[in-house]
Amino acid sequence: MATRSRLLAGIALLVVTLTAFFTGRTVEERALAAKARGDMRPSTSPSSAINPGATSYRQLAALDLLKLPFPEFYEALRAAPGEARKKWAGELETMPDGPRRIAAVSAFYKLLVQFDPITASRTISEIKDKRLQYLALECAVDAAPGFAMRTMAELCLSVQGRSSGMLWHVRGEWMFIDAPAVAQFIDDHPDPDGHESLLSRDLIEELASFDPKAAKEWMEKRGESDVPEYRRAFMEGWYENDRAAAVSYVLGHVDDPAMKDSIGDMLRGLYFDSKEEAGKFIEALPDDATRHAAFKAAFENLILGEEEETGEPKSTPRALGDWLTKFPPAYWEGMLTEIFKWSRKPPEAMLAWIEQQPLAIREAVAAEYTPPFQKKTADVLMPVLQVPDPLLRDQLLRAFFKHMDTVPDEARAALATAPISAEQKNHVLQIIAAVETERDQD
Amino acid sequence: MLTGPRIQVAILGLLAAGFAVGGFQAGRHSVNAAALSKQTGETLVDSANLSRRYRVLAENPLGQGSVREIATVPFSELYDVLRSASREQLLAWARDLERMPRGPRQRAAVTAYYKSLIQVDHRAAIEALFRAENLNMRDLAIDALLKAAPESIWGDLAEMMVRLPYQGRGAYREDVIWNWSRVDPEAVSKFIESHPVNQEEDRRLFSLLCNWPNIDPAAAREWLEADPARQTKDTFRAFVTSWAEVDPAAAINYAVANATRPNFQEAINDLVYQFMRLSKDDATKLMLVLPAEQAKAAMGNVAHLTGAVLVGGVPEGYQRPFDEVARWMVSLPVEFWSESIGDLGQEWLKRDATAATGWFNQLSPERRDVAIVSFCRVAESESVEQVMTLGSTIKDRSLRNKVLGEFGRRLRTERNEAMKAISDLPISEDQKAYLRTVMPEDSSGH
Repeated sequence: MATRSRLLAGIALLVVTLTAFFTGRTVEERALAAKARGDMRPSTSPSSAINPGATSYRQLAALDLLKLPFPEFYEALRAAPGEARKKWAGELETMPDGPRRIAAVSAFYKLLVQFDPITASRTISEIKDKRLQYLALECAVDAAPGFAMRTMAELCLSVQGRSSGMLWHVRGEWMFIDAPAVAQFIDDHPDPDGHESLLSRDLIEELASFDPKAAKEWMEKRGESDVPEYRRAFMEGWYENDRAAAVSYVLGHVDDPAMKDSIGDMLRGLYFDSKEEAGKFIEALPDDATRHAAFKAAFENLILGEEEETGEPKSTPRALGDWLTKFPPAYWEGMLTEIFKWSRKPPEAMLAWIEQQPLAIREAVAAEYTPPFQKKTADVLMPVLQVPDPLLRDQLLRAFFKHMDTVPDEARAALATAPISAEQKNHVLQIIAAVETERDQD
Repeated sequence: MLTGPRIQVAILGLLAAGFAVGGFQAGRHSVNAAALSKQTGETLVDSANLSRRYRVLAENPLGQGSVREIATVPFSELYDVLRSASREQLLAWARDLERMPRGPRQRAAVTAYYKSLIQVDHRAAIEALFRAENLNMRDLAIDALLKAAPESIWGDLAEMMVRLPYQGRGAYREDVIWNWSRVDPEAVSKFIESHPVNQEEDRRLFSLLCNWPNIDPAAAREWLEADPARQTKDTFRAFVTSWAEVDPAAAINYAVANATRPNFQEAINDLVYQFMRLSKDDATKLMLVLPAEQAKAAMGNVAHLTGAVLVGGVPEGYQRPFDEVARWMVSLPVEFWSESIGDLGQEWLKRDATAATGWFNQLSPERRDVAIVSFCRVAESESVEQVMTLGSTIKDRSLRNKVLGEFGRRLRTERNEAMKAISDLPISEDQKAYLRTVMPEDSSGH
């Protein structure tokens, strides 16, 4: 009995000692951690002027925290240990639904993720209200710094699953700043259903722009080297990494059908980077048919806009038109139609541009004239009727009616009210009839 | 005496107290201060190495290149550097980032800089954007700063978005309105009123009304009703679906009361589809009180979306499984779904013929006929085998002949061409002969 009592007493003393030991250890660790944080703040920082007592996490509930001016909010959040941050996260979850909660959760996670993505990730994964969790996830993912992207991707995967739009969003953002890391992430989390094809295309481009050799190896490893879309993406990325090498490769493989789109991509890239190099590139192509195909692939789907809207002088219809028409019409035939269509300038501006073209190409240019998109026929027909040169006017009218989206009935209606003589109207009606006949024959 | 129980307890108590104090002190001294300091440092600023980077940045504020490493500097350090920097320094850094060679390093640096700067000094961030010359980088910077912007500055950002030159570059304007309207929709409505845009349809209204009814439906409704120019298809859609999230009954009443209003059908379609996904009882309630035409159109939309191939930006679970939707559709009166179930059936048969056929076959005979007739009426020639298999089981003989005859007639515009086209169908000669026999004169079935 006495032995048993002694044994029990010994165990009790041991428990007391161990508890005291670890308590002492924890207290010391926290004290040192707090000191370390204080030491690491640069002396130049105005934040050191903030009275820590005013923003001590111990005194604050989540709502108090969010009412603070940003610097104090930041300092409080930064100074707080993990448990305090978790406690605040818990308080946010219990707030009544509404704009205040949205504002609070957004502010909290946008900031927390920037300096403690691990805690942000952990607390988000523990949020039970799915709508709130989505909001917190959205904010954290958006505000996350580059080095936290993997944490965010893993959070999306664990919280929302593989098909999550947010996972796509994270990887999409991430690849623009660190494509090799995204490739590694995809390797680490293979998709059994192979739904990565869209992502792969962009990723290969980004990988190649970062490191063409690594991109090539990654494609080979995944058996994607021969997929035309991926090869094209690779070439685009390679162009960004080493323009001369990519251009030279494409010119050396012009006969490869898989290079057709890449020829256009190179030409477009060169047009924006160096018109001189673009000119050399087009002349280095073997024949007019290839040059024409290159122009088509490069510019057919290019979004054009006026400089005052986009700030891009090279993307205006006029700038592209100027450049294309420096080359023989055989290169660009059919390409000007889109340029006329997307011009937002008054129709008179493009008509004046056509009038100024050298006679050698003016007819070819006029033959592609198209009424500008989404303008009333009456408004765009009148300027053509006012072109002084009768030959050019007829060429323009033929092209105008030929390329109209709507049937020429609308043109007839517009013509009926046009302030021109009956004779002129008859002449134009004859042109319309001739275009209709041509259309019927086609 | 010393061996008495009280004495023993007292000694034991003293020993326990001594061990507790000793253990506590031993615990404190056992902590390796250097190691902990390093560990804490890593948590906060990711090692002393990064602190060196901080010093480079802080001590060389206008130095070319130092800011370019910004993507590797943790926010804790960056925050202090940015706060201590003058406005001119901040703008100079922004300029330096613009001039980096384009590529991933530049994108990473620009993103990191603006995500941080917007939290530290949003006015400097805005000024930097106004001074930006590299417009591609400006776009990237706008994207980055909108993602990390504190909730209190949406108004300033909205103002910036309407004043920045080159408005034709992007659609970020709606992003600002969307985010701002989640926290202060009334302010957004006033902003929109005071900053009209010269566009056919102002997309900002849609963004606002996606959120406002969730917070204050009465105010949102009053604002929407106050100006007919605000009542577009998209604003009605946003308004009713957002309202339905917080008050389904009120949204149903509103939808029914406005069902025949111009621009309102898409709102009904969206509302029915939303309820069908999230609350089938509400979907049923709404269908039963809608005018017949609007209800049928909404059902058509449900069938179409269920089988449609939707690309990009579709929330998870937006499309429900075929069997779930089909079950809900046929739980309603026949007239609601008799025209649209065929659309759903055709897509389902394409993707999982066994399941779809099984579903058709388990319907009551009357409903089964209606569903198969509906399918045959929309089926394309590529579904001919299923049309013949299922169509031949329609119980009403004259209806069967009519429906299958119409299917054959739809193969071509001209009847004689349609007759010829039957020859190329992958069905038996008897079936071809049957289709020719029952084919009507014109495509309307006569």
